[in-house]
Amino acid sequence: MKILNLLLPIAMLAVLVTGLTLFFTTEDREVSEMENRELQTAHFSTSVQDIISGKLTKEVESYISDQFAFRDDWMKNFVKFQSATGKTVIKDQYYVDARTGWIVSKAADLVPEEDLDKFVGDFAKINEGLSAHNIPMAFFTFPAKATYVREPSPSYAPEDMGIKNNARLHEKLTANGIDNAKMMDAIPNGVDVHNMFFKTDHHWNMYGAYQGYLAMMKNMNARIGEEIQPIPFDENNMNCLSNDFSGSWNKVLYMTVENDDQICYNYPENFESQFTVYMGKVGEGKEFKFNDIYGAAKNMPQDELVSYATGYSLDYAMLTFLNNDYDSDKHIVIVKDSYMNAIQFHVASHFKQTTIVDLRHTQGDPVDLIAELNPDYVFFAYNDRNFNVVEQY
Amino acid sequence: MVFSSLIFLYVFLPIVIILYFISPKWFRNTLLLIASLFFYAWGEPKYVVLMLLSIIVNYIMGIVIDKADAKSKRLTLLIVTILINLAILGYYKYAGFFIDIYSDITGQNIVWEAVPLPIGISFYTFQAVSYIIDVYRKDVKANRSLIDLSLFITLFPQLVAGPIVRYQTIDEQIKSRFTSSSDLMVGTRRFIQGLGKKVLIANPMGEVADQIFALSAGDLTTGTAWIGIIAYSLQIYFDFSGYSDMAIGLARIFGFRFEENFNYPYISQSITEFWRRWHISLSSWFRDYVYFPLGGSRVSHQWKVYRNLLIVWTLTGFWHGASWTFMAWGFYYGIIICLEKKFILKWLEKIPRLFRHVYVLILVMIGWVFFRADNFSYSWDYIKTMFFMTENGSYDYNTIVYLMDYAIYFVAAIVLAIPVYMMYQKWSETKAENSIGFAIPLRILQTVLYVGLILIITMFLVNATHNLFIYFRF
Repeated sequence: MKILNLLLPIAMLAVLVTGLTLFFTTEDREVSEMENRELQTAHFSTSVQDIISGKLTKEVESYISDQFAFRDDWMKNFVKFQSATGKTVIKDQYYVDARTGWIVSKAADLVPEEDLDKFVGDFAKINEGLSAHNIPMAFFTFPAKATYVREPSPSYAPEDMGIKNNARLHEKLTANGIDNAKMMDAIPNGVDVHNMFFKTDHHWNMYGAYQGYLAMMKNMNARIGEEIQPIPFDENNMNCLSNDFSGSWNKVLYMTVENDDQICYNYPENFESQFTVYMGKVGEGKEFKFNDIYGAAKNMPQDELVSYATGYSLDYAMLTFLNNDYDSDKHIVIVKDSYMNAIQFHVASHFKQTTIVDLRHTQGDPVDLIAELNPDYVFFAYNDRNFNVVEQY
Repeated sequence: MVFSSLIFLYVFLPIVIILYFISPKWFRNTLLLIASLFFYAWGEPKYVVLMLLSIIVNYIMGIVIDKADAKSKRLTLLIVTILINLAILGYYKYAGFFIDIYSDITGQNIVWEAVPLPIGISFYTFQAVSYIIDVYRKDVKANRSLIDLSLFITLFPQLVAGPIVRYQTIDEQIKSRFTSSSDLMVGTRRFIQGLGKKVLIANPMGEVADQIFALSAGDLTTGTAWIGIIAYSLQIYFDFSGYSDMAIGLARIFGFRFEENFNYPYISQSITEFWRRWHISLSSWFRDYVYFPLGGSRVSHQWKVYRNLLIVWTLTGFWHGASWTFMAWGFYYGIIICLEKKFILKWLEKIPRLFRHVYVLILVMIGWVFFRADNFSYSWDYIKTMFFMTENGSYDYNTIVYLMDYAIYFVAAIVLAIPVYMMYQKWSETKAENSIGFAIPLRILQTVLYVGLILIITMFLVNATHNLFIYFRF
C-alpha cells in the first residue's frame, strides 16, 4: 500500500524534475519565429535597485517562461486544444476552417471617426506640402484579405466593417480634396476574391496581386495622362514553388492549419535584365538586379518554409528602379506597404524611373523626402485595413 | 511567487520538496522558513522587511503578554499589539480610503500618494492577531522559538491567500510532524486538483468575466450579463478554493494539516449556510474574534444580535478591500443573514429544495456583481440588464460566442462545483482501503490521470495570459 501511495508523488516529482532538467539543458533561443518577437535571455538586471523593485524577478520569470523546454510545441498543442474544444475565435484573432485551410480574421469594428480624421488629416498635410512643390499625388487602397475574405466565418459572426471603413475613408479623402481611388472598383466583378488571397496569410497571392497591378495601372494611366498597356495576366506563365508556405496568420497559430498555399510568380523573362536597382536614391551604394530583390525564396531549399516576404520582397525604406525598357519616361514615386511588394517590378517595368518608399522605415518629414526626389507623380498605395501609415505626424 | 506559474511548479517546488526530504528533521523548519521568505520576497522583495517586522513585534508581544499576570496589563498589551497590527494593515490598505472620506467631508485637498498593497498582508495580519488573542486568552502558550513562530506566519502554502490558519491548529505540528506515504499521496493529489481548478477552470472563466465586465453597460445584453456573472461566480470560487486546495495539499506534503476553507458553497440552501461553506477560515475568524466578543447571539435584546451581525458582515466586506462597494457587499450579506434569522429560514424550509438553491444562487450572484464591478452605478446597470430592465436586448454575438467557446469550461465548472467527484473519491478510497485488488489499478490510473493533468496544466501555463489569483489583492 505504501508503495502504491508513493506512485503519484514520485510521478509528479519526476515530471517536475524532468522539466527543470530540460530547462537547464536546452539551449536558449534569442528569437521566437512563431511569435515574431525577441525572447528573454539570461541577461538580467542585477543592480540593488532592480532587485528591490522586483525587476530582476520579473525578468527571471519571463526567462523561464520564454525558454521553457519545447515552448513552441506546448503553444502549438494549445492552439490544437482550442480548435478541438470548439473555440470560435482562435487566439482571439481568427476563425479557422481546418477542412479547407482558410484562416479568416475576426470581424473588425467601425474605425472611430477621430481616427479616420487623423489619418485623412495627415494626408491632407502631405497633399498640401507636395502641392507647394508642384508634385501631384493620389491615394489608392488595395483590397485587403481581411476585408474581402469573410467566408468561412461562423453564421453568428458580426458583420465586418472593413468595406464600410474603407468607403468612409475615401469619402473623407475626397472631402479633403485628396485624389483617391479604390483598386477594388477596378477589379472585374468576375474575379473570385477567394482566388486572390493566401488562405493562411494576410496578403494577396500572385493572382490577387496581379489583379491589383492591372487595377493600379488603369488608375495611374488616368492620372498621368498615358495609355500604358499593362502586361496581361498569363496563366501559363505561372511558376510556383513546392516549398511549404509560412502564412503570417498561420504562424500566429503555430502553423497548425494544413493548407495548399504556394508562392507563385508571374513575370516576363526580361525583368531579370531590364532593371538596375538601388537601395536608396540613384547612385547610392551598390547596384542590384531583379533577382537580388525579388523572390529570394526561389533559391531556398525545398524543405524550407517560405513566406510572403521571402517569396516576393522584404520591405525596404527606399528602392529606386532604373528601367532600360520603359513605356513612359516619367519618374514615379510609390509610397506603399507590403501589398505592393509582389508587384513593384511589374509597375516599375513601365516607367523610366520608379522610387518605392516605405514610410515605416524612413525618418523625417515625408514631404521633404518626396520633394527631394522631384518625381512627376506620387502614388500612395496601401491595403484598406491600414490606418496607421504616417507615423511621423 | 504564484503557485500557478512555471517558476513555482518547475523550479521552486521540486527543489524545496527534494531539499525538505533530504534534510535532517531539526533543520526542516528552518528550511521551510527560508523557502517561505524567498517565496514571498520573489514577488515583494521590499515588503519582506515589513512582514519580518510584524513577526518580531508579535513574537515579542506574545511572550510579554504570556508572562504578564495582571489581567488589565494583559488587556492593555493585547490592545497595543492589535493596534500595531491594524496600523500596519491600515496604512497600506485603508489610509487612502479614509483620507478620501476626510477630504470629501472637509473639502481639504490632502496629497496622498497611494502605496501598493503588500501581497497577503490581510491574511498574515489576521493570523498574527489570532495568535496574540489566543495567547491573551491563554488558549495557547506563547511560542519562544522565533523560527517556529515565523514559520507559522510565513509558511508559504498559505502565506499570500490563506486559508487563515490558527496557531492552535498547527502549534503541535510545527514542533513535531511526520509525513506518511498517505499524506504524500493525498497532498499531491489535492495540490494538482487545486492547480487544475485554478488554471483549467478559474482562468478561462476569468477571461469571460473580464471581457464582459469590461463592456459598457449599454453594450451588455441580458444573456451576456448572465454569462458574465455566472463566469465570475465560478471564477472566484475555483480561483480561491483552488488556491486553498493547493495550500492544503502542499501543507500536507510537508506534514501539516490545515482546516478546510471551502465546502461546496454553491450547493447551499440558505445564505447562512453559504457562509458556513465559503472562506470558512475568515468567517470563523470573525465569529471567534469579533462576533463572540460582541456578545454574539447571547445578548439581552434581539436587536443586538442583528447589530452584531451587521457589524461583522460589514467588517467582512471591508476586509476584502477599502471601498464602499466592498462594504456594501458585506452589509448586503449582513442584512440577508439578519432577515434569514428573523423569518426567511422558516419560509425556506417550506419550499422545495430546488427553489432554495435558486434563491441562494441568485442572491450570491447579485452580491458578486457588487463585488466585481468598479462602482455602484455600473453594478445597478448590470443588475438591471440581468433582469430585462433595460432595452439592450436578450442576446448578441458575444452571448453566442461565449456560450459556444466556453461551454466545455462551464460544464466542467458546474459539475465540479457540486460534490460529485468528492463522493466518487470517498467511495473509491474506502474501497481501495479494503481491497488491494482495487487499490492497485486505482492508484495506477490516478497516477496516469494526474500526470496527464499536470501536462495539460503546463500547456495552459506556457500560454498563460490570465493568471493572478483574485484573493491576492485582499
